[in-house]
Amino acid sequence: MLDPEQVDLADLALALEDHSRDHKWWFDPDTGAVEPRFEARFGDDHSAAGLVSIEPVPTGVGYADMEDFVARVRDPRAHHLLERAITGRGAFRRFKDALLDYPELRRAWFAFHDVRSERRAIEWLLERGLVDPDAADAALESRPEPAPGEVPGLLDAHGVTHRVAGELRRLYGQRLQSVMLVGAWARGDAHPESPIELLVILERISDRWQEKRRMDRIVWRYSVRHDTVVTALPVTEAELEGRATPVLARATAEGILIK
Amino acid sequence: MTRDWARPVDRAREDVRAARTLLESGYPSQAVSLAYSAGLQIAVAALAVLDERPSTDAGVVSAFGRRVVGDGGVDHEFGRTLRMLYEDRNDVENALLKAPKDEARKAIDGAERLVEAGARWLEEQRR
Repeated sequence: MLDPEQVDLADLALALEDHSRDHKWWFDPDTGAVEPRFEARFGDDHSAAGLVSIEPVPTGVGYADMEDFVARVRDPRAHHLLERAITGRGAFRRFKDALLDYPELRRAWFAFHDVRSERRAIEWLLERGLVDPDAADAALESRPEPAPGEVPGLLDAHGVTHRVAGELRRLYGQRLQSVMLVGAWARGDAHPESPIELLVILERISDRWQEKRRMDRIVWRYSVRHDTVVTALPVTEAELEGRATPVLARATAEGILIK
Repeated sequence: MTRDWARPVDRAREDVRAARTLLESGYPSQAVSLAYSAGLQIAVAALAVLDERPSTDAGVVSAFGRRVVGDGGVDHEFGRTLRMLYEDRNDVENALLKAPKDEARKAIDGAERLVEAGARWLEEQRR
C-alpha cells in the first residue's frame, strides 16, 4: 500500500479542485501517479485499467477556504476589499486579483491554501483505502492546520483561544472544565477589530469578579501579544445550560468548545 | 487642522466624576459603564493625535495598547486597565454581572489614573 508521501499531493490537490469539463483526472493506485486524460481521445476505459477517478470537491469547499482566510485578515482595508471580492459570481478570480495588491497576504494565502488542499488530498486517499492509515496520519500531522497568527496581518483567533485555554488549565487545574470561543470569531463573521470573546467554564464559582481578576494577567498578555482584545467571562456549566441571559443563550447556540 | 485636546480630556474627567456620583447613589454597575466611558474618551483622543481612528471600541482598546502604550511610552498598566474596563463594562451591560461597590470603586480609580496619564501624554505631544 502507498505512503501519501509517494504521491504528488500538489497534483492530487489540483485535481480535486479542477472542475474542467474537457478532461478528467485519474489516480493510479499502484504507482501513485495523478494524470489528466481527455475522454474524447482515450475513451473511458480507465476504470477497467484499475485507475481511480478523481472527482472534484464541491466549489463550496474552496470558497470556505477563502472565507476562513479573509476572516483572519487584520488590515481593515485589505479585509474589506477581500470580503467584497468573494461576494457573488466570479469570487475566485476577484479574490486572486485583489491579493495582487498585498504581496505579503498573497504569500500567506498560498501557504494557507497549500496546506489545506494537501490535507484534503491525504484525506481523499485515506477515505478510499489507497494509502496506509498510519502513514496518512503521519502525513497529516506533518501538515498542521495553518497558523496564520505568525504571519503579519493575520489573526488566528482559534489558535489564540487554544493557547489561552492551555494557560487557564495551568491556572485552574481540574476546576477548568472547558473554554468556549463565542461572538464574531465563533460565528465566522469577525471584523478585523472583533474581540476574541471567551467563556471560561469552571466547576464552581464563589466570586466571579475574583475569577476575572485572576485571569486578567493571562488575558492581557495574549491581547498585547496578538494586537487584539481578548475577554474572558467565568461561568459554570449549569449557568450556561440555563441560558440565563441572551448572551449565554447565543453562546450555547454558536460557541465553539475548546477542551 | 485644529487639535482640540481639551474637550475629550474634560469629558473624560466629567465621566469619572459622574461615575463616582452614581456609585455614591447606589448604582455600582452603572458606575462601571461610565468609568469605561472615561477611559475610552481619553484613548480615542490619544489615538486621534496619532491619526489612528478605529471604528469599534475593541479596535480602540487594542490600538491604544499598540500605539500609545507600546510605541508611545505610556505605562503598560494603563493598557491593561482599559482592557479590563472594556470587559467589565460588557459584562455588566449584558447583565452577566452585577458590580459590587468595591469593584466599581476600583474601576473608577483605575479609570481616573488612566485619564490623568492620558492627559499628561496628550500634553507632552502638544509641546
